[in-house]
Amino acid sequence: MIFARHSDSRCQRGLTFVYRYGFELDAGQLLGALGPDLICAEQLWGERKVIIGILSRRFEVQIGVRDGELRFMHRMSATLDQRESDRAGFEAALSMASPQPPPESS
Amino acid sequence: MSNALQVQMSSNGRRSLGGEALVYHCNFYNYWLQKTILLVDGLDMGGVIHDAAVASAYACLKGLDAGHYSSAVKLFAKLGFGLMDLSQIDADGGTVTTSVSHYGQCLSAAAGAEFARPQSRFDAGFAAGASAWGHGRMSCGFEGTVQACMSLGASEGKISLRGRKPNSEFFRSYRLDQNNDGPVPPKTWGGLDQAAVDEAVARLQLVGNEEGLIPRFGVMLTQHFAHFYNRLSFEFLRRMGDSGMRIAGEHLLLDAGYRCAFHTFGGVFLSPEWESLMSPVVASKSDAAHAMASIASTLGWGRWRLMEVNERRAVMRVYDDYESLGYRSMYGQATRPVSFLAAGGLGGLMNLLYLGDILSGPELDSAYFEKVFEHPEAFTVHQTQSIAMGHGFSEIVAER
Amino acid sequence: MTTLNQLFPGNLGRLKLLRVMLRLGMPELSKYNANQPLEPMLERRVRQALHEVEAG
Repeated sequence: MIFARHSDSRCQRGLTFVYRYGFELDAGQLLGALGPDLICAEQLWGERKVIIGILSRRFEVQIGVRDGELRFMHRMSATLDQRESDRAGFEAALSMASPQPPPESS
Repeated sequence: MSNALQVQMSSNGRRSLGGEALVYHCNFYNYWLQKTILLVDGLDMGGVIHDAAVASAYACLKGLDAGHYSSAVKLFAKLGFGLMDLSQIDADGGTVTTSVSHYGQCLSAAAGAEFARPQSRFDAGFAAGASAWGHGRMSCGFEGTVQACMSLGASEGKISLRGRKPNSEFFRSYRLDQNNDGPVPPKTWGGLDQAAVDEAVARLQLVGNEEGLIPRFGVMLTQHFAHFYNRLSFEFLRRMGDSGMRIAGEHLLLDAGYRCAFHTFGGVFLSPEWESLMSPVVASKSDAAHAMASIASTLGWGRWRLMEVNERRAVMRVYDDYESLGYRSMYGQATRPVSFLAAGGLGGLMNLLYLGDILSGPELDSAYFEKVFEHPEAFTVHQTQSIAMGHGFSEIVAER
Repeated sequence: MTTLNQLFPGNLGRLKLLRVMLRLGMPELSKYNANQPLEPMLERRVRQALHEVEAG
């Protein structure tokens, strides 16, 4: 399995998903695959640099929150259908960003 | 976002915008505080929520001297309240809509049940205050009425505004005393300097995103008006007067603080942000307690210092305590301590660390909350000193 | 016949009882013997208030 996903059940249920991946992720490639409208930024969490991509009123991706871990957060404004579609698109992009063959399922 | 909306942070941890003190609070606190003060019929606390929001929004916008009406909409979003459209308001009133609303959409996660009443009274008050400012009226110049609220299933929030007569006794926001004559907070932990924690938290950019919300640490944060919270809490107690229920009311305000701490501190402890910022300097539970106190000290609540902390007991002092200073500014010297958020916060912190073993990474769900809360040796807290009563700092003891 | 202890068990129950007390405007509830059965009329009022405070 190239990545594992789990839903963050705290508080805003269903908005946040955590992905763990066991490969060297090319953040630029992943963000590039999420479309030209993505707004990218960086934040420093102590010594850690987190790369952020935001598709307005749809979702936010935070890459490198821990080693081999990223957070995918739906926006409150996105409809349930939109969220499902966005997450599927994101997982496809994450698979493509992997140097290994695509996963069977996660 | 214009620089005019840049929150200022003073060396004593005070956050302010347009001269209005700001404090971070989460959807859990916002829900439980509102629920508590609305329990008693006949106190018109719904009106207090509205008017406290009016006074805060009006004073902040006036203090910003931002000039343009759109600043109010930006302010609403920046502080994490959502997206508000004020474009249909004229000098006589009109209809305000909110396509995203913290109060309308984010309290349900804390409630765990369907709402019977609209939750967005704050939005109505903010809209009324902002419109009064925008149209050159006195702060009480408009009254907002919630016509539709997303907490009750509406697709967007709708608020009608209409003019109302001047009222010389209308709430005014106060400027928190600087408390400059108070003692300087001591350094009680060798892990990280407060200034370094202030800076690290500032880098997290805890401001409203493009839909005007602040989802962080598993909760929805707001950067809210200190005056608003203080007015709600203390007006609630004042209006209860000699009903015989004031002590019960104080317990419930403390409980709101406990729930806030439990969920926000719990979320912080479990977050990768905590790991990045604090793991290198935290080697024990007492270290973790000090570290969380230093983070709490960046939220506008005053500087929290743990003078003593172990598995049975903690003594915390709060310097520049926003609750006490707010009380004193509004009602004069208190006869009883009033730091309910801080007291509940300390109880939550100690229970998380020493009973809930939060550092082992439990699932922060309702079953965990109940298990910790029902623990036969749960910490109890009491306030021993209070800035509101004239002491130099507020002090809270947690014991079990 | 139900007692307050049965209706409001544990620490969370005690907080719910405070909310019910405020909802009903009955501070005297805190002085009731929590192990004594409630009068039927009072029990109905307490249960109704409990229902209200448990709603969002």
